[in-house]
Amino acid sequence: MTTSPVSTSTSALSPSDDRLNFPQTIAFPALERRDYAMQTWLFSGVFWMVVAASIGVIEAVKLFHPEFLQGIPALAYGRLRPVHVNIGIFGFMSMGYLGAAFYMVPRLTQTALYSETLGVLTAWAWNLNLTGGVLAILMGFSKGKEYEEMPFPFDMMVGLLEIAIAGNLFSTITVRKEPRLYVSLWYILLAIIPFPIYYTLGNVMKFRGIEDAIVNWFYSHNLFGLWLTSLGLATLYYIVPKQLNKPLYSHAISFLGFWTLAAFYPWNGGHHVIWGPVPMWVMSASVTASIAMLIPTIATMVNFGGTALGTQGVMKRDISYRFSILAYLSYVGTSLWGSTLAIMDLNAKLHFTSTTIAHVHLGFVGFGLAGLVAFVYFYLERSLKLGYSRTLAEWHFWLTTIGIIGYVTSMGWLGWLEGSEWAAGNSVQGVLELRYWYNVARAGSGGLLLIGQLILVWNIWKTMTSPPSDGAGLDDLKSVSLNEGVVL
Amino acid sequence: MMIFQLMTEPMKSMAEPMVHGSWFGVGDGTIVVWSLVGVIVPVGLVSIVAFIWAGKTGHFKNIQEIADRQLDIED
Ligand code: HEM
Ligand code: HEM
Repeated sequence: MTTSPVSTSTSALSPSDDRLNFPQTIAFPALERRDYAMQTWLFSGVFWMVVAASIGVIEAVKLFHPEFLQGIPALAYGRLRPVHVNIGIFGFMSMGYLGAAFYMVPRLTQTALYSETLGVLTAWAWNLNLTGGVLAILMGFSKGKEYEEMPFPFDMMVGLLEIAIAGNLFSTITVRKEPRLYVSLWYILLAIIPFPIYYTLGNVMKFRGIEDAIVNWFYSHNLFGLWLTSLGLATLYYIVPKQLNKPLYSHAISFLGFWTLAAFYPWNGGHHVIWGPVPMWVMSASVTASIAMLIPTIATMVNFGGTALGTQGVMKRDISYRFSILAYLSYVGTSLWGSTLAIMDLNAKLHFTSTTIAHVHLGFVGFGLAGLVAFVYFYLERSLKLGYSRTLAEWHFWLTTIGIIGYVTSMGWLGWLEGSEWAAGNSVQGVLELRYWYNVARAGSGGLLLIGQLILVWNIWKTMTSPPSDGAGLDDLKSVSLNEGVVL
Repeated sequence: MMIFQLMTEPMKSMAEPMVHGSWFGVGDGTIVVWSLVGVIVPVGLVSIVAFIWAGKTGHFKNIQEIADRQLDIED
């Protein structure tokens, strides 16, 4: 290693030393605690994760047993689905991974967060605003377009709050003490800087017809690709080398992966409207860009694969690392699958089928949920130095893994059958009967997933509230094996 | 009457029927090429020049160093 170790004194991170003066003058002392902002974001994310999964299970049951909770307008499928999606994206994924970003930025820059107060306040404002937006959708005030259902003013508030969040993180990076930017910081910058542009474009109700559809998908795909995926990858890039106590395989390959991702993702939006009445160039540009996404996907695959090579021993012992691997495999799987879905002939067959749903959940649950959970365990053991229950964590891992596999295979296979039936001339009604047991299987897998996440919440609660006493919990600490070396 | 006609008569397209080529199965090859030439070629050229410049001025030197040091950061 060519190292001149960075200053690792914790005082560099405590919110008192030399920062710009402004945040100190508006700071509330009660909020200016180290990592207070990141905890607020992270645990809000975990809360919304459970809510999103619960609503997902309710929806899933309704799809094979429509009488379930029938007659209550707020719980109609058409309202629950956008609520599920918005809570999943803006609650669980955005908040959880922003928690991880608020954790990584001060550490990687060796600089205290620009303002903990602002971080905490924006988190609570985000929670309140999301609650308002979701209640509005439940009452029937939806904007009616996918991924932008939250009505005014809740939609615009998300954009404004993001600017405040981005300002907070960006300022910290600007005044950083560590001059070099580790790859996680690149991804965080890619997530926070362009967001207000595409978010606002997508949410203003200014466009009409086809134009509107194109802008809608430009926004939505950037939301998945530049916002959620970047924050997720930043987190994995931070925790995986530390879990293995082994540096990232190649910072140069991550450079290639980052810039090709940044270059091609913004062109992907059009692949959601393949064969729609949009100009041919929109389709062809987006399909080409979707195939080109193989470059960053393979770069990421090689980089994490190279880092993880020969670490089966750690995988057996460290549950947090096992979740990272689950997230990594799901990310690569989702992305390779996505590039395939964009091939026009295949898209013609699969677009309206459940295959898309399988792809989505491999991305959001396989990659998004597993990655965040890996970070939660990482945070508990490495930063808070708390030993969580190993037994509960094992249950959590296996329920989550089985749930994901069950969800993705049931919907993926069903999608293929639906596509084949429709291509053979069968009607939509004609395949409803076929769907039944697959929908039951999806609801069952979702149920397992949900139980797994409830176990996680219970485990976090027990870990954080049990009084620290000498020796107590030490066995647990050992069993989750802090700072393991690489096992080759 | 006019409206009724429009609604009932099959559309008579004046366009030549298009034969789809197979650039990743993407419509007619020419369209793929022309829509992207204007963007990918200039962006690509600028990127290549930028990378050569960055390499020559030492921006890629010790690129792995920060990845090694990341492990030393206290959590
Ligand atoms: C227990 C776990 C979950 C279950 C049972 C579940 C169930 C569902 C169901 C039934 C749908 C409607 C699919 C259809 O139309 O056939 C759906 C859609 C969706 N879910 Fe989930 N879900 C779960 C977790 C999540 C999570 C954690 C996220 C996080 C973001 C998420 C994001 C989405 C999205 C974005 C859609 C819309 C997909 C599209 O329109 O293509 N789901 N989910
Ligand atoms: C190389 C990467 C990827 C490519 C090329 C890709 C491609 C695609 C394609 C072609 C579709 C449209 C399917 C259709 O409706 O016919 C789609 C849908 C979707 N993808 Fe991906 N995908 C990628 C990665 C991801 C990841 C990592 C996530 C999540 C974290 C994700 C989330 C979604 C969502 C939510 C939809 C559904 C949109 C909707 O119809 O409501 N994708 N993707």
